[in-house]
Amino acid sequence: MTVLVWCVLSCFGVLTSARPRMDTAVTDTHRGSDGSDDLTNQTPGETLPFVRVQDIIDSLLIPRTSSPAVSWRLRLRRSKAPVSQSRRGGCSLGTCTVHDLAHRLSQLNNRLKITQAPRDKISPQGYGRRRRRRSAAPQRLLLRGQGLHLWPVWTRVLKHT
Amino acid sequence: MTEMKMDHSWMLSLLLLSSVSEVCVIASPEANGTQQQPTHHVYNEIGFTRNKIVTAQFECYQRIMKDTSERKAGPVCNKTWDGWLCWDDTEAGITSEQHCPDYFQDFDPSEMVTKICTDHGNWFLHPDSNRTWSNYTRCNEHTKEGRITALNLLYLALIGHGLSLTALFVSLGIFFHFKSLSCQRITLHKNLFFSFVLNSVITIIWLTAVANNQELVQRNPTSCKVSLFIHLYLFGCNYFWMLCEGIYLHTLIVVAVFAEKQHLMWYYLLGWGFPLIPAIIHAIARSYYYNDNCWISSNTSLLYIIHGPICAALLVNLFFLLNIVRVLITKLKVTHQAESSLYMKAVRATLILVPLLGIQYVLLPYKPEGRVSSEIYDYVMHILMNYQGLLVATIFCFFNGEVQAVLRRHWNQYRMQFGTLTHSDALRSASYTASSITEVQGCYSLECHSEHLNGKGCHDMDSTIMKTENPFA
Repeated sequence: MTVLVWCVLSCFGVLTSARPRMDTAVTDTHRGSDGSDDLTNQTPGETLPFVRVQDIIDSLLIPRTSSPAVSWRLRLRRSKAPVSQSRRGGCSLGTCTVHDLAHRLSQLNNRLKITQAPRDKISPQGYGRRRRRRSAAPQRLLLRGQGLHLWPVWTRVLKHT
Repeated sequence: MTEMKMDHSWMLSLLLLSSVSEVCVIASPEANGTQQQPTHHVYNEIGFTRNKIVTAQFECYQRIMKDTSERKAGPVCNKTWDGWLCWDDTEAGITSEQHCPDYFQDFDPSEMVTKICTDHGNWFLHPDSNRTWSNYTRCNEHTKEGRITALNLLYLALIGHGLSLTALFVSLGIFFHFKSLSCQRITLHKNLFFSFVLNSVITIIWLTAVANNQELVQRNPTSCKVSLFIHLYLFGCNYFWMLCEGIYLHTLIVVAVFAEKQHLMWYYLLGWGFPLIPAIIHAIARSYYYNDNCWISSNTSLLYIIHGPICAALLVNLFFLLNIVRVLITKLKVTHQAESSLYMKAVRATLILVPLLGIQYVLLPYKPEGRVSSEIYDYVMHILMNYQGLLVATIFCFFNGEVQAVLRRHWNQYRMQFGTLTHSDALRSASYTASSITEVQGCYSLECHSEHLNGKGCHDMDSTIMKTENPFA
């Protein structure tokens, strides 16, 4: 229960803090080009130019100006939350079916999501190749080598690509 | 089938239309020319999905970084981010599973993604591409069927609530119009029916005006949260009035055989007052911990605040039902010799009481996991839920002996008034009237249905009540 709540809170936090910056990032890169195909057909490796992790970090950087301890605590607190996809909360009692239906209908009508998952990413050429077993290791070492400071490491990773 | 298709095309055109209008709305203030419009729209929908993916990626990398857990002895596939989902350390030879992400409209979050960790401790390489690969193919395999099911369920719900509303209005009209019917039991029925009506109305509003209206959900006005609050409150009222019926019947039959009139005040408090508490707690908890748009998501355990008490009420009702049937069987054993007719009567009484007390929800408490079974469960549950009002109105009003008698009497009076009656008809109606008058006098009165008891159990109130409840008796 608490885990779920944490997860939700952190998601909300990130989304709200990151949204305005992301807007500008995408519109800039896609001005003039056919945005939709470009984005949906991207392989995961190429997501980095648009990955607005940097933006998220930038917005999270603000507390660092106070003291490194604060940002460390912030990171610790946030990272308690597990990745949400594996959790399925919700009520599975018989009487809950009415909420399920409402939820499903609103999901069907949700025009904010991309309607179709890009097929090439599901195909054999698709997802799963982003992080190989070997390539994961040095990256992680690099991150650890920076001690308690998370932020410069992230930007460095982004610069490399 | 053609209807289905038509609906799809209709929905599609509606979607297109509304998306176009949205683009116009977004783009018009900027007045940047027509090329900008598609970009804006595309960015809008991609931004949403991308936000989610980026958030998940960020969290995954954080998890990978702060990985302090001790290595297991055997070969292990390392934690990894595959582009959509985060995968934990997995022991060799094990297939890791997670639910599909909800990034795309055609992904079903109840399906599973798999990623195989081979015996050597490497993530599975797809033979076609020789690349590390997670199996997302099941995520959108049954999307079309799911969409059809959702629409079917919606139509089922709308038709069911429509029919229920009609039946309930008619029976409420009968109950209110014929004063001779009024007694405590009918008062309880009226309240139950009224809660059914309110629940149906708010459910129809919620399903059509809120859940089907993405604009509203995106605007997220307070009014839609208020309407969910009312929806949950009335939903609770409905089930707590079923509990009231159960308590009343149980008190009457098992606890106090010769009781005077019960105090209805407590029933009103329980039926209309108590459901406010879980509804308020849910609203407060939801606004603090899961404040999604219009509170429409069913993906939160906070819903147990509402459904926990409801489930408890239904369990109590199940106990009442069993107890009532037990008492009925013991009483009937005294009066009846034939075993078969005894059990038939007991079974009949049980079947009649099941929809009144909402026992069907206790008998099918949990949604099964599998896709097909959960779909079947959804259909069954929706039929039971949406047509319960119709069923209850039919059994407890239209099939009710007293109501039928009153209606027949009034119909005959009406016919006599306008002189369309032949002599023999008049005679027959007179006899009807005579018998029905004794029937109607006083609810649960000892005179009630005395002819059914064959003079054996005039004081056997329990059987009398069961007969009264039993439309076929």
